[in-house]
Amino acid sequence: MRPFFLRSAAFVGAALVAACSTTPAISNTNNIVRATDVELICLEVVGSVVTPHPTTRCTLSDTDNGPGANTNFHLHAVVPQFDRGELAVIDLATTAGVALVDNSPAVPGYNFLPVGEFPVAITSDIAEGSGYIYVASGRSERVLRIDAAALRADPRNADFAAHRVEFAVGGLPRDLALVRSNGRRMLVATLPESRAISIVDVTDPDAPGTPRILTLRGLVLVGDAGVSDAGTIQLPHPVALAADEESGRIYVTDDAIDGVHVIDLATQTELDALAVGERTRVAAVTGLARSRRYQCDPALDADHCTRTRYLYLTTADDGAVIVWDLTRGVRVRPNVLPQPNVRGSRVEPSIAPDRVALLVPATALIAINTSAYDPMARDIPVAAPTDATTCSQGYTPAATGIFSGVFVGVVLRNGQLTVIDVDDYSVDTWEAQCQTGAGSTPNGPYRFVRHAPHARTQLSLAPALSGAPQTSALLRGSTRGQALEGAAAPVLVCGAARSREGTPACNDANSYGVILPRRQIGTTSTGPVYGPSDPFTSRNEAWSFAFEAILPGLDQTGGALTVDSTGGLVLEAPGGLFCTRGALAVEGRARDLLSIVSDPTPLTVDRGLCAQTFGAGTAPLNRDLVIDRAFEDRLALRVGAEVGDVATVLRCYPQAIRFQVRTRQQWLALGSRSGYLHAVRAGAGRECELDPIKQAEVVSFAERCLLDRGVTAAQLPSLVSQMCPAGRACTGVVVAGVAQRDFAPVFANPYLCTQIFPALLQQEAQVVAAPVDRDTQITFSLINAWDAFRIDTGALPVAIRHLPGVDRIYVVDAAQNGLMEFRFNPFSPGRIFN
Amino acid sequence: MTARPHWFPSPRALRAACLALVVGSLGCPANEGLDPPADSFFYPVTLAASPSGNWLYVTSSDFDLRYNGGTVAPIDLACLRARVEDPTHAHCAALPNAPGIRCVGDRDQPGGFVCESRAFVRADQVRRISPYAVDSAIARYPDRTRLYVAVRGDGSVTWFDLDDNGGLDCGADGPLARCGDDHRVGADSAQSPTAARLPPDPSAISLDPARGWVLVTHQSNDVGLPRVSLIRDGAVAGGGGAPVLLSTLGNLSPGLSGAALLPRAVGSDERSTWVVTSRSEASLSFFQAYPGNAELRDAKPFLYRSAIVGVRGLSGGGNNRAIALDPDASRHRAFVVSRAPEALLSVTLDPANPMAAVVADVLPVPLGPSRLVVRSVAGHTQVLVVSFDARRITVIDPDERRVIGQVVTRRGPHQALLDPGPTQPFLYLVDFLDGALEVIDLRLPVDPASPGTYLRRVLTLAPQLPQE
Repeated sequence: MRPFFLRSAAFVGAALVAACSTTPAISNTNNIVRATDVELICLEVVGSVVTPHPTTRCTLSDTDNGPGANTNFHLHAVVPQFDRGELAVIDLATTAGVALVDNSPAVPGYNFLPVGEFPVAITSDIAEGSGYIYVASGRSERVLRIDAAALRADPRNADFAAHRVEFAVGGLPRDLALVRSNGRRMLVATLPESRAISIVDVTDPDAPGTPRILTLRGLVLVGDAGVSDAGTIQLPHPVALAADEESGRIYVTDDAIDGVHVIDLATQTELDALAVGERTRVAAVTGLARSRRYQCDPALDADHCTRTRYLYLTTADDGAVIVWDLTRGVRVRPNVLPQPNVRGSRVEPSIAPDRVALLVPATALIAINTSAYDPMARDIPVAAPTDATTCSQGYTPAATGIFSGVFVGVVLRNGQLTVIDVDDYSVDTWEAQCQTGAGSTPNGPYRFVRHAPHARTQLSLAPALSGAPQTSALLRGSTRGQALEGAAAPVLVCGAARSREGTPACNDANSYGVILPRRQIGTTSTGPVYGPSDPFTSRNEAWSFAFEAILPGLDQTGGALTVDSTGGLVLEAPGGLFCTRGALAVEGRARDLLSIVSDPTPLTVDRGLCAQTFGAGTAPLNRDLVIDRAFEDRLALRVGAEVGDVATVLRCYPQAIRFQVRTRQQWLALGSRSGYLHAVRAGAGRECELDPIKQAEVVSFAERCLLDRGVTAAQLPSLVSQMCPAGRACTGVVVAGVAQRDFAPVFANPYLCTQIFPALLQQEAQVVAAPVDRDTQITFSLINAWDAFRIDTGALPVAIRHLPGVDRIYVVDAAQNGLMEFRFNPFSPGRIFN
Repeated sequence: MTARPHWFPSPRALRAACLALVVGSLGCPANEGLDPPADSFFYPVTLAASPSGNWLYVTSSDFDLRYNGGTVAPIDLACLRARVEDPTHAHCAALPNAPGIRCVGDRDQPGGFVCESRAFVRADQVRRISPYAVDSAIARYPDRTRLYVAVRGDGSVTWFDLDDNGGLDCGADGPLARCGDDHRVGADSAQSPTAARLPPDPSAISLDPARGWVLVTHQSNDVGLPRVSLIRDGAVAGGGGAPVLLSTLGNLSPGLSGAALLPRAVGSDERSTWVVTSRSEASLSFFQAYPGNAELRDAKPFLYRSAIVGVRGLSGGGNNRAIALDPDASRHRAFVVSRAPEALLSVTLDPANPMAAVVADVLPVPLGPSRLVVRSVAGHTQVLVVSFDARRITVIDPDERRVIGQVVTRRGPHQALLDPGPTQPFLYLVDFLDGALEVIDLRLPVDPASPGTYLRRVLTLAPQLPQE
């Protein structure tokens, strides 16, 4: 046979094999339009006979999404569509082809079950062999009940009407929930415009009970005497339900009053509202993590370890997520590190401490419990790292990780899904996926962190630098003619010392002189154990160290130079907020500069003097004035000999000036997300001072950093004493012609630490530290940090469901995706049904 | 390589060429195209109501260039209302030479009727404009009322003086006559004190009658083109002055789309502020018209962008269309139609701080949303969103976050307008594809259980009656 023919045959054969072995895929028909909600139902399908069962009877194969061992039991999703007024039924156990059930096959296209105008909510009540779904319509005060056995039937058949029952709920319903209490089954609906909820006993399928309308209580405003609205009552406006069958309660959100209504199911009465302090819209209750798989120290917090449960809520105003501790009856402060972390420092400065640090509004919540005590629950594996270099120094990739515990899935308005867990104290296993070089086995389970922005984007990667730090001398605000003679770029410390002959080598390509916080691996670890025991100290962002840089927010126009009572020069700037923005003038720590940007505007007679003293245009002179004392609204300034006296300054600058405040002989560290993390506060007399608590925090970070570099504990005090104030770095000094690590002050913050070596300059017989140009920058980026775990859903996600046992999440997208599936084994996006 | 033979034309070809030369030297025969119909609509895109509430002005775009221009046609609103109330109403008496009303039942809408449009159009006042009109608006000044139509075809804002009888004065000399050049602002730079011409692709018009401002947005994505224009109408001072194009502004967000005039901020009474959407960028731009200050020897009015804020927190957010303010001014709220995602955005506006604008709520709407109308019903705000692709108008209660109802329209719902009457009993809707004007009943039923024609199309003015 000819080689060409052989090659052709081989190619055709390969193509055929590839084509025929393609994994069967779900075909979408783009028939789901403007979905609003979803309910999951287990149906046994044998020919045309359909029998409902509890969802525990249905499974989905991890390999092909098929129905598992019992091939007749198919999990179905039922999706209301407000634009069509129909229910779409989806067979989730379909392995190939179209999963949408065509209820009227004789009619062209895909046909669904009509349920009335604008269906807004759905719930179900399924027992073994029978059950119903309930649909609330936005235009009807009646709820529609459909026999679950008829969900795959043709609604045009004459007998279908027998499977539909409508009954009144006493108002226009917004949300539905089916709860079981004392052997009875109750359908609960919120009636926002009636300011009530409706409870209907649906235990007897032949005779739904008369709705019990429970008008909810308003909120009496409490005010000071004379306040006009004190004593008035804010009327309620119930929105959504969160049923807690374990405690026999229903929580009702309200977007008109600052409280959550609590309904006791046994007595069907309203209890005292939860004073959550916000108007709320969506709620989810977490169950108990019965097996306490998370590591919780009872000695520290016994109450939490045994019975804590939370109510997660979204606020009506801005979609923020807040959390109410149902055990203690208090609002959780999720943006402050929890109790075991004694520092209690804020981690997302732009968000209030009592809100989860999400920057995008949340639209729906679902509680997920992977507690092993629950026979329906399974741990959620996450992929193992594949690349050894992604682990921190000294660690290697290890086994697949696991998510476990109790947490909440959240869909965000920007089309993303994330997770929140406000009480996951057990963070010592966060680097469990990267074992120590000594081969210890840190086999603890992974967990989502307590709040989303610091969960992980890449579930198996450790923080790293994206590349070697770059140094650039921008000379911003000055000219090349003013560049310092002999200026040279400093470097971040890599080696132990730097001499004129050699540059310190970075042995660890992931480090480049920047040390990222380690996490405590556990008692068996032989590696470094100095890392803070929390996963919240890393984030993906770009960092820059700029020499004598402008403090953020302190490039202003409008300050007036004047004289104080002692004859000293003062810059008055009532809106300056100098302390708030981190300006400092403390002897021995930092003394910032005021840099005048404006050209002089003197009277004609003084023009010559002012031009000679301060220059003009592109050749400014003597514009830097050392700050003697900094206050929140003014700066006391020193006038150098080169300027002369205060009167000269005032004559040259009689009008408002543009000014900048810069660090003096210090580097300003700026994170692209963190900003300038300073520790300056307005103290007595509104004078700027270092906050000792915050500064001590930075020192503790620095100690860990030094220990990580092999410094002994005995050397620590003297080295730490060289530190600059928080948010600033100082350049090391030269001793005996060499720049040594031990003489370079440590810079540290919660996210990284480093030291800066000076460049060396031969000056006559001496080697000295080379001067550094103003605005010289060292920049680098951190990647793979424990950043927000987020995954894209659709353009407009509106609802989320989780089915224990099947371990999948379903997200309803009101835009184009219809229903989206996310798998837990491992956690990954799955099929799309539309 | 072979030599190419010389080519000599044949005698027949020479004769044909000579004939062509002769014909060409005589010039082309006059061909001004087909005049548009005076009594019906063709690709109508916009409509505006007279302040008296007696007339509706429907602008046809001539989108397929079938005719030699678009038209602006006055509709007798009083007669239209009377026909809705009384199916036996047979004649629009205010219209000279109008034919009798001919209608049939609407087969697609029980209880509705389809009528010939020509019975409702004041044909003798129909005026011809250039093709591709895009938007229109009406301003009432001290001694006159003016209609402005943004026309893409000739790059102008064509303006009309209106009278109380449906009369349209645009410098034309009779029915279907073309509007005069002096009524087309922006087409001739010599008319502008700054020698400006209207930039291409006008998108929307927004007026501030109290100051005589006419703001025009332009949806161009070309970085070199201005994207917003400011016209000042001299009629604001009385005496019948003409509108003049003052300035155009470039280096702005691309694809500027809908515009809404904001209430005057405290302490900034002399400046008018608009908020403008973009269909190409996730932003809201704020523009201010500064009238100038003679005391400061700064008498030249000008337009500037006072702020720009991102439309954040959405998957997309970069394709926004129409915008309208909540009639309840205390809510400081605007509604924006978003195409990506297809939703109604509720935007909170702080009058003192435009930078604080934030998307407060997002509600899904049917496919292809483009326009919206906002009204107040018994103190409750309602938003009516027109979805072209879905052929629906969705009525939304934004405070309850609830869809109140939907109106099924004909094939091409486009711009909608509330009846100017105090109770706003009807919604008027131009249908781009069917060349029709639809009348939607907004009158609340006495018995909610019997909605009757509420939120239904009760009357359609079509070019001709459907065949039985």
